[in-house]
Amino acid sequence: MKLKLLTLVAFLSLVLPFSLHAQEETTLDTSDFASSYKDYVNSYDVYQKALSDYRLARAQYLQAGTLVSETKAREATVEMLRTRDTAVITYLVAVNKKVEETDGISETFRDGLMNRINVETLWFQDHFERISSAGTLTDLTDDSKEAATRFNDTQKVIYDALGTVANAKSTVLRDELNLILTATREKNFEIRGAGDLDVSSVDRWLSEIDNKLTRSLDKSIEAEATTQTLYIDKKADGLQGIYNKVLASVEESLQLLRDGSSYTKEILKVFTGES
Amino acid sequence: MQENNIPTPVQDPVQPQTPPATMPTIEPQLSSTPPVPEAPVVPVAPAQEIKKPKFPKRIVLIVLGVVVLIVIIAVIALFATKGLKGVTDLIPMASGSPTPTPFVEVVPASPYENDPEVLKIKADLEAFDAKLNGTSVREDTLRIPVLEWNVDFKK
Repeated sequence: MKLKLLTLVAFLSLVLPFSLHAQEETTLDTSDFASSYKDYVNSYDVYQKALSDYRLARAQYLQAGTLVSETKAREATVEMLRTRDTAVITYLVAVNKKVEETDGISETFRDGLMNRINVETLWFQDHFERISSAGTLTDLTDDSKEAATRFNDTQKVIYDALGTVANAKSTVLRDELNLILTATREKNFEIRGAGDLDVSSVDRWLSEIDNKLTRSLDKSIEAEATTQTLYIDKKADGLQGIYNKVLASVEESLQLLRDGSSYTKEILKVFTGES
Repeated sequence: MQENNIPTPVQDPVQPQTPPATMPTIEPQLSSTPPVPEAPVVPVAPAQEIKKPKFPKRIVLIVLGVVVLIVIIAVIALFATKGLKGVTDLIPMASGSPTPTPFVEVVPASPYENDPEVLKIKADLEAFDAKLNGTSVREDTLRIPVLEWNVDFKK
C-alpha cells in the first residue's frame, strides 16, 4: 500500500509540473498583436498619470524639504519608475508580437530578433522587481539612471525590429509580383507558339520587369545591411537616422515594384489588343 | 470886497492836471521777418475732365456690317451648293477620274481579349496594386514611447 502511494506521488511529481508548464505556455501565448498593443496603450496612460504625480511631489519636496514631502516624493517616484518599466515591457511585448506575425521574415532571422527583444523584456521585468519602496531618493535616482542607460541599448533592438518588419513588406510584395510575372511569361510563350498575335514587343517588357525586380531585391539587401549598423553606432541619437535610412531603402524597393507592375500592364494591353 | 461875508474857500493852488490813468495799449509786435512778397498770379486753365477716348461709331458700324455681310454670303453659298447638288442629281454628269474610297483600317480583336488566364493575371495585378498602394513602411502605431528618464532631486 505504502509502495503504491509512493509510486503515485512520484508519478504525479514528474508529470504534473510538465502539464502545468504546458498550460502556462498556452495561456501566455494566446494574445495577438492587437491585444498586446492595447495593453501597451493602457499601461502608457497609467504611466502618464504617475509621471504627473511624481512631478508634483518632486516640486513640493524641493520647495518644502519636509519629511512628509520627502515621503510623498519617494512614493510618487517609486510609482513612476514602476509604471515606466511596465510601459517599456508592454511596448516590447507588442513589438515582439508584430515581428512574430509579420510575413516575409526568414525563420532564423525572426527567432534571433525575438530572442533579443525577450532579453530586453526580461531585463526590465527584473528592474521592476528591484525597485524598492523602502529606498531613499538617491537609491531611486540610481535605479532610474540604470534603466535609462539600458534603454539606449534597448532602442537598438527596437529599431532593428521595426526596420525588419518594414523590409519584410517589400519581400512579400516582390514575391507576389514574381508569381504574376511567371504567369505572364508562360502566357506569352503559349501565345507566341499559337502565332495568332504579334507579341514581339513583350520580350522587351519582360526583360525590364526582371531588371526592376532585381533592383528591388538589391534595395532590400541594402536596407538589411543598414539595419545591422544600429549595433555599431553607439550614440542613441544616431539610431533614428539609421532607421530613417532603412525606411528610405525600403521605399525605393517598393517604387521599383510599382514600375514592374506598370510594365506588366503594358504586356496585358498587348495580349488584349489594347495596344 | 466880500459883500456877504461868506468866506470863500481857499482854493488849492491850481495843480497841473494829470491825465486819467489809462491802460497802456500794447501794439502787437510783428515778426522781424521781412514780408513775403505775394506770389505772382499765373493764369491757369480750368481743370479739364479726363475723358475716355471714344471709339468712333463709324468704324464699329463698318465692322459689324462686314461681319453680317460675310454671314449672309456664307448662308447663300451653303444653300446654293445644296441647290446645285440637287440639280446635278437630276442631270447625270460624267464624273472625272475615280476617287478612291477612304479605307477604314479595322483592327482585328485580339483572340486573347477575354482569355480567362489573361483576365486572371489582370485581376491579380489589380489586387497587387491595391496592396502595394496601401502599404506603409513606417509603423506609426509602434513609435518608441516618450518617457521621462531624467530623475533627480537636486535643487
